[in-house]
Amino acid sequence: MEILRCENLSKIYGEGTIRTHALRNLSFSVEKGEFVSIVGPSGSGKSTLLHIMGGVDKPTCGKVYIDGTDIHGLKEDKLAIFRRRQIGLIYQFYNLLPMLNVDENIGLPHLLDGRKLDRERLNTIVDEMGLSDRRRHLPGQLSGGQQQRVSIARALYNRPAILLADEPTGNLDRSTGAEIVRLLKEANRTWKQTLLLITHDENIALQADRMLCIEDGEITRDERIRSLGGDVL
Amino acid sequence: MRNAVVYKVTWKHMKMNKRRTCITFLGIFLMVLLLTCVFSGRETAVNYLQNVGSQVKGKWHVSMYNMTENELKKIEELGYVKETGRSVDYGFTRFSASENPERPYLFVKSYEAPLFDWMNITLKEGRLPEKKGEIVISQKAIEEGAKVSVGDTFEAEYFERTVTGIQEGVTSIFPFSSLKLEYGETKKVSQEFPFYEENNSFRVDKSYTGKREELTVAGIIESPVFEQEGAAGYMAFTCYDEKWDGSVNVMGIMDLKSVKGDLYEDFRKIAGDREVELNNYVLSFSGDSSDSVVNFITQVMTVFFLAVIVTAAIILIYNVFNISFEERSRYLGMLCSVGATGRQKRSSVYFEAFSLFLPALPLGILAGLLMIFLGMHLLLPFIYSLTSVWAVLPERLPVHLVISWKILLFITIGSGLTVFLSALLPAVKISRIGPVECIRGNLEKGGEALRRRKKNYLNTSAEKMLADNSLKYQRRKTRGMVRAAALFMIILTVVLSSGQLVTKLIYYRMVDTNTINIEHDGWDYFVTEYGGNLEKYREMKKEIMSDTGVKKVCEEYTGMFIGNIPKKVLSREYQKALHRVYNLYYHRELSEEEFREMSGEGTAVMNFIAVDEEIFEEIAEASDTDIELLKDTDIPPAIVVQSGEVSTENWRVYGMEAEKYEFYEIGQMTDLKKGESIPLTVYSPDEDRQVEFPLCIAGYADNEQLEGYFSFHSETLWVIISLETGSQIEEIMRNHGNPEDSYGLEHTLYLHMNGKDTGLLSKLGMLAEEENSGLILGEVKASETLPKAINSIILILLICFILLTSIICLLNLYNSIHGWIVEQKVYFAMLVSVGMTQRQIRRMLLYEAGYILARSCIWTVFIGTPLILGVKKCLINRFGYVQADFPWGIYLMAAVLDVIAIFGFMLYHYTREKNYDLRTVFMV
Repeated sequence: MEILRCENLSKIYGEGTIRTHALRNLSFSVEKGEFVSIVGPSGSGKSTLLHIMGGVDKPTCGKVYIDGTDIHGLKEDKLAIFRRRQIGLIYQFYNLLPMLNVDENIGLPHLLDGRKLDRERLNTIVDEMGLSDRRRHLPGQLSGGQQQRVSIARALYNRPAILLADEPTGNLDRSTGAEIVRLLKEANRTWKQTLLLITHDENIALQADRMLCIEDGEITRDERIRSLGGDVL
Repeated sequence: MRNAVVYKVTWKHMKMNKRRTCITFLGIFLMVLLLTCVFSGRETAVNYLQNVGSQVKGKWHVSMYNMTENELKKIEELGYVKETGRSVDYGFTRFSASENPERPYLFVKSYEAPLFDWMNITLKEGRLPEKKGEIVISQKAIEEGAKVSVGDTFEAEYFERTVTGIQEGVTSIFPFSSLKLEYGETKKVSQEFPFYEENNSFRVDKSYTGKREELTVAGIIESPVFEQEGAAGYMAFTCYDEKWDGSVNVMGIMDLKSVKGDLYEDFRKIAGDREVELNNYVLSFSGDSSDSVVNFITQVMTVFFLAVIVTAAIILIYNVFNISFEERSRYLGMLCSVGATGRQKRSSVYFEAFSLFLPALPLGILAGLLMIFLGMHLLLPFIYSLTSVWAVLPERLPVHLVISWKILLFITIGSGLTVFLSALLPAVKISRIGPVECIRGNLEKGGEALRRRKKNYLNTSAEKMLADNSLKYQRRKTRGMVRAAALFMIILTVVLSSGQLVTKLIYYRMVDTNTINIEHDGWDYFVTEYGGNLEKYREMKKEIMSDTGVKKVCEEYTGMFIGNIPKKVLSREYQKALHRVYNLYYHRELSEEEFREMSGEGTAVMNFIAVDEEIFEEIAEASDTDIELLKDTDIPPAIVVQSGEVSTENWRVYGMEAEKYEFYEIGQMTDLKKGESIPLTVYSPDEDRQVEFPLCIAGYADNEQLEGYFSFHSETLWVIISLETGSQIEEIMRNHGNPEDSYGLEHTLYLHMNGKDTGLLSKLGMLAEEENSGLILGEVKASETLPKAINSIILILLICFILLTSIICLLNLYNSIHGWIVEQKVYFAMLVSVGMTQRQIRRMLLYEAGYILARSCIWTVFIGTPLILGVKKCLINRFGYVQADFPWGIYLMAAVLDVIAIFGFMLYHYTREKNYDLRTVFMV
């Protein structure tokens, strides 16, 4: 079942002589529960693609459908609500709010939805992420790996349709990075969570079901590595 | 040189943050502007008023007549007399060139050189006299047809004029010359005395002094302001003859700062019983005189304004540096990591402050001067309408800005010091922070508090949780915003409430005590009969009532000092105030017994005003009066005026001088209750005894309730009664056996005309002009009284001042909130990325604004209230007691303005800054 579809996405920055094509007429789709890694050199348009898919940036032209919804056709507030319910974003620099503790950061999208926090879910996710003894800590009191785990927990808490991770291990040492990828993969497997992950690390990229290579704003390679069942092809 | 790179980096930082730099500049500029307005404005206004004052009588301070050379020396020996000048009145001489038969003379005065300037003698043609025998003549003579020009010569034989009563049994009165002449009496007349043809009542004679000389016209001068239109001679001036051996008139100019004690007394001792005249037109506007109203106003206002301006400016500049603290610390931390010292870091803050101060100083001074100039021109029509003093001026005087080196130095040092003090604390703080903390941006201490907090926000709304935590996390910025909002409220409340008190004190200081002001609107003229001729008054009333030109008439009787009441009728509050006044006269704290003994037991006087039924009922409605009691009482009803004033000016203790001026506003003149009676007694000439005439207290009224009718400023008890009651009292006061010997009430008729000229007014006018008519005819002017007008000027100045200081405060708040929003942009982006809507962000900001508002209100209560009470206490200690309620209204108004400002700025800045690029967040 298709969960994400990008149609003819283009993104142009600047005007006149400084006009830069970040994405060029890019189209692809992702199946529900698929783990897709996106690789490519710096400045190839990976992050731009992720931002457009996450609804935090708008394409110059083209459409993004998540679970059948054209997200850029939504009004600003509707898009925000859609994002907090259907999209989980994970960033290289975690983007946690420094004034909120671990529990509050994780529960934030849910609280923003005006819903009462599901304590059971919170406890489960905190335990899963190994943050049980850090629940009252502020981000500043956590290590990089712990902060990224909080960020993943926040992204997962609402059971989004799609998880978008922009170089989540880029700021971490190798072993912590591996731990984070393990957690993401586990989420993908356990909860059938669709995952799109940008990385420079080939080892991480190869752990995905499918790998998209982007160069100069175009998909140069779309390679299936293993079947959706997890078998290496 | 060592600091060059720090300055360069700071300069770039300033250029990058143009808006903040502009606001800091604007704050410093406004502070300089306001300081210029206060100091130079004060000097310009006082100088202008002095100039205007000097146009009336001249620039001299004191004038003494018929002094000897020896006495002149004594005057010059007084330490504070700066300069003296002699003049001699040579007297009248025939002026054959005159074409005005009623002005056939010249009145010649000789002046020492400086006196021409002191007396504002302005040349129109020719030159001033330089030697004996040269004169300048008033232009007035030429305007009235005199054939005289520069270079003409004529013989002068000086004489004095005398007037002699020649008709037996007739007393001639010359009201404008203050002269009363009995039959056979001869009196010397002044230079202003008009020309009279011979008549049956008196005769004007010439008495030659024996001085003769040939006069040459050296110049024509503008008619001096003091030249009287009706005088028999034109003014002419010659130069002082050093060989003159007679008595001289001496004028002096003093160094008012050196005056110690009573200067009038010093001159009086020298002059004995000869005339000593102080030029109060000039002295009263001299800011350095010992106790003038203007002095009082300027001193109080200067200190008050100065304190507010400096506080507002310090907090604005301090806040600006505090807001940019983190940002500044980042680049300074980098500099620090490559070896910049703490001193160099401090110099960055000072560099920023003073590089803005340097251009702000001249620009602020120039703008301040421009504002004074424009302000003076705006206020001039108002100043000119104040009093009749200005009416004698030929034309409006030009405004000259006063900006001395002393003032410039004061403004420069004052504003420089303010800028330095504002930058001092941020500079010291920044120099103490190490490079690692700077670079990490780990400066906010709010994290500590959040780590310690017990509260978990998981059960509250996300907006509230975020707002609360943001405010706690970024404590420095939160405090900056609270400080800015609180300052705005504190300044508004303190300035407004203190201004209200100051204007009230000035009003009471200036208002004539022992008076009531009639404020009847809608009436055109009044006729007051004060001679006790009741029959004549009734005749006149009948005539006025039947006149077709009169639309409406209302009647009023005033009885001053007509009744006696026991002193115990007067309230405890009144007695206490009087006790304090006595303390000031006796220069010590009198015991209760001593006070009672000195003020005397027994009776006090009581006054009344009787109004017609319609007005009586209106007043009863407007005041705290029991209408039932008013209509249904056995004894005549009265409304007691509870407003009163006791001061060292309206209460004199015979033969004693009060230690200082003090004033007490009385809110309750009597403690008697409604329904109780005032045991009034009135003297009856028929019975030659005090006759009891008790009045029933139907209600109370104060000046506020009586607005539009009367305003009472008296140390005695006043009651308002009906005309019927007034007539009954008058009946007791009449001497029926000898009506001419009656003393009675003042009867006033207010006329509202219908525009038809029936000749009534001219008839009444002629009647009033008759000698001993006992009548006054006047216009009920809607124009403001002097104290009210001065109060209005102060109010205008106060509003201007509040507006300008409010701009500083609002800039501060604007800047603080802008800084907050800019710093929060990264969090907004994070929040949007996790799905927070714009509406939710706005709601979060409103929570934050609410918190800032609440905190600023608390600070206002804790700082503003003691300040208000302190200012009130200081003013009351210095000038006396006035009734002033706690300014709840002002608090409310300030809070409303604060709400508008905080919420407005918060939403405005967010709307402006909300188009943040979300991608920037992820690049961090």
